[in-house]
Amino acid sequence: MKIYPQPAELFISEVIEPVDQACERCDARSLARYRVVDYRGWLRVVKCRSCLHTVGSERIVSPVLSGDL
Amino acid sequence: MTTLAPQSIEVLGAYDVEARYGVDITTAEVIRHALEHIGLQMQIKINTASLSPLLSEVNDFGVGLLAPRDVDRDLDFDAIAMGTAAPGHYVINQFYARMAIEHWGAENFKPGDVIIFNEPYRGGSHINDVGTLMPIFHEDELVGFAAAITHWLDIGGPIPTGFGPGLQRDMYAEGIRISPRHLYREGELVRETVELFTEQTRIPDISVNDLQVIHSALKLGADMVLRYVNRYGRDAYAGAVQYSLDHTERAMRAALQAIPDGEWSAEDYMDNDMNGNPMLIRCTVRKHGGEVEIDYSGSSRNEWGGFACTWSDGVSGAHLGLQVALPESISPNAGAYRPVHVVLPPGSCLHALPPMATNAGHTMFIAKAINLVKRALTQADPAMAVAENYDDVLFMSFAGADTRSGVPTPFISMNLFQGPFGGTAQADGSCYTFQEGGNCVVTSVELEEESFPVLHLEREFVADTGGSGQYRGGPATRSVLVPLADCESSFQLDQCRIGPRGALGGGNGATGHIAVHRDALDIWAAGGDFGEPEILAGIVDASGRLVGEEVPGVTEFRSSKQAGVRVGARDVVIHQTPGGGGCGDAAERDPAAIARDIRNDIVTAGS
Repeated sequence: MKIYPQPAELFISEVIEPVDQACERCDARSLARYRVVDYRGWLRVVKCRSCLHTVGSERIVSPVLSGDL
Repeated sequence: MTTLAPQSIEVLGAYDVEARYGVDITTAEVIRHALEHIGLQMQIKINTASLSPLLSEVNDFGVGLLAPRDVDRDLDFDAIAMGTAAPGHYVINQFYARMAIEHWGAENFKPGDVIIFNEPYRGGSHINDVGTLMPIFHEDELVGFAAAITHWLDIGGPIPTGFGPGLQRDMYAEGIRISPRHLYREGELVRETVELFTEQTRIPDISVNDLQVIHSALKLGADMVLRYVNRYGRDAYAGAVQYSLDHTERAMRAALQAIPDGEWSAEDYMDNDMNGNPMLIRCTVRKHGGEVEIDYSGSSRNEWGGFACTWSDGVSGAHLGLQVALPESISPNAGAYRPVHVVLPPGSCLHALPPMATNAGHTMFIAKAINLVKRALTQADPAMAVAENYDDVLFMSFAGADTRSGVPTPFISMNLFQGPFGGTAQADGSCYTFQEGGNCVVTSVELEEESFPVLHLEREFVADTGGSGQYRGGPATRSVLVPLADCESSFQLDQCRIGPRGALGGGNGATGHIAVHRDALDIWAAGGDFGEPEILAGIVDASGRLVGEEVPGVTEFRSSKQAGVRVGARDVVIHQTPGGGGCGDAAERDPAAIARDIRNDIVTAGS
C-alpha cells in the first residue's frame, strides 16, 4: 500500500479542468474534465457542469492505489 | 472514452421485457423478488447463529449477492440483492467485494472457496469490517458471488473494540490487516486464517464460531441462487438479474425526476479533530433530470488519529443520503447507484490517504455525509425539508475483566446508542432511532446485563432538548451506565460542541455530553445527591462545570471522541445524546401537539 503525506492546505477540492467545447445535450459551454466515483468505481469524465451530461468517461484506478492524486 | 447512455424511465411491458432480457416478465419478477428474499435469508442465518452481539442482535453487517460477469448484459459482479441490516455495508459491498475479486483474480476462485479480507483502502469501510466472498459456480461457470461484510467486535491492536479516536494515529495502529486469502479452500476451513483471529483479537471464541457462521450464510445464499439457476437456466437467471438492476435504476431515475433541477450546498462541522479543532465538511448536490452529482469539495483535509474515512465510505454516505431523502424505498442494489456520480477529492476527510487511520472516522464521517445530502436537498423543495439529526454512530465501550463467576474473564461491552432525528416538513423528528447508515438495533438491557458486568440504570428522554419548530426535533436521550469492574473505555458522541441545526427557521437541538460520578453506585441506589460530575465530553467552564456554549478564552471543550479513558468499578456514567433540530416556524406548531409534548415530558410548560 502506497503512503502519502498529509495535504498542506486545510480544505481540499477536486481539480476541475475546463474543456473548451459545447455540451452536445444543452449547448452550454460548461464542459469540464474531473474524477468521479460511479457505481463501479473511479472514472475520469468529461461532463457538462450545467446539465450533468457525461460526454465521455474512462475507467481509472482509485487515486489511493494509483498514486495519481 | 465511451458514452454513457441513460436508461429509459418508462415501465416496461411484458413484450419489452422478453425482447430486452430474453426472459418472460413472470420469471423475471419471480427471480427479482427471490434475490431480495435470499439476501434476507442470509441475514437471518447470521442473526440466529452468531455469538457476537454485533451480528446476532445489532445487525452491524451487510450480506447478499453479486451478479455474474457478462459483458453483453452489462453485468460485472454488481450488487444485486442485499439484506436490510446495515445500509452502510450494503452500499460498500459494491466496491469492497469487487476490489477483492480484482485483487484475487476472478479466474482463481474454485468451488467451495471463501476469501476473507479487511483492507479499508481497497473499497472498504474500516478495519473492523471483515469482507468475505464465496463464488457461485453452476457446473464450471461462475454465475456470481455471495458476499458479506461483518463488523468484528474486536480486531486486535492497542484498543479494545478497535475504535481509538485520537490514539490510533495511523493505520498501523488499528489492528490486523488482512489481504485477501482463503478462509475456506475448496470447502475446507483454513486453520492458519482462523488463527489470525484467535491469536490476534480479544474475541477468540466468538471468532471461531462466527467465521463458520458467515460461511454458512454465504453457502445458504449460493445454494438458493443455484436452485433458481437449475430451475430456469443460466440465461434466464442472467436475464432476470439484468432486469432487476434495470428495474431499480428506472425506479431511481423516476424518483429523481420528481425533484426540481438545480444545485444546492450545505455544510457542517465535526466537533473536533485530534488537536481539538472543528472540521468543516461541505457538500454540493447537483441534479438534472434523472442524474445527480454529489460533490464534497471544500471539505477539511484528512487528519491524524482517525479523523478521516475512506473514499468508499464517502460514496456510501452520498448514496444513502440521497436514498433516504426520497419518498419511496428503492431496492438496495447497484441499479440504484447508476444515476449518481460522487466527487471526493483525495486527501480530504472523506477520502483519506494512507497511512491515515480511518477506523473511528468511518462512523463519524459517513453520518455527516448522509446528513449533508439531506440538508442540501432541503433547499431543492420545501416539501423535502429536514432538520439535522444526531449524526454519529454513538457508542461507549467498556473493556476489562469480568469476575462475576469467580474466574476473571476478559470482556468487551460495546454500548450502542440511538438518537433523535430532526423535524421534517411533514412530521416531528423521531425520538430514538439509529442513524441511517447503521440502521442497527440496540441490544436489550437484559441481554447486556446478563452478558457483561455493566448495569444499565436509566434510559430517559430529556425535556427541552429537541429544536423547536412547526415540527420539533426529537429529544435527547439520557442513559446511565455503571461498570462493575475497572475498565478502559472508548466513546464517540459528536455534537457535544456544535448541536444539530434546525431547518426553515426551526431551532437547533441541544448539545450532548458525557459525565461521570466516581464510585457513586451506592449514592444512586440510596437516591442521594451526586454533586457535580466530572465531565468527560462537552463544554466546561473554568471550574469544570458543564455549560451550554463556548466562550473563547473562558470555556474548554473536552473531546467527544476519546479512547483509553479509565472508568472505575461502580462509577456512574451519564451519557446524553444531542437533541434533533426543529423544522419550520415554532409559531406555526399545532397547539394540540404542544399539549401532547408537555404531557409526555418532551417539553416543559413555559419553555
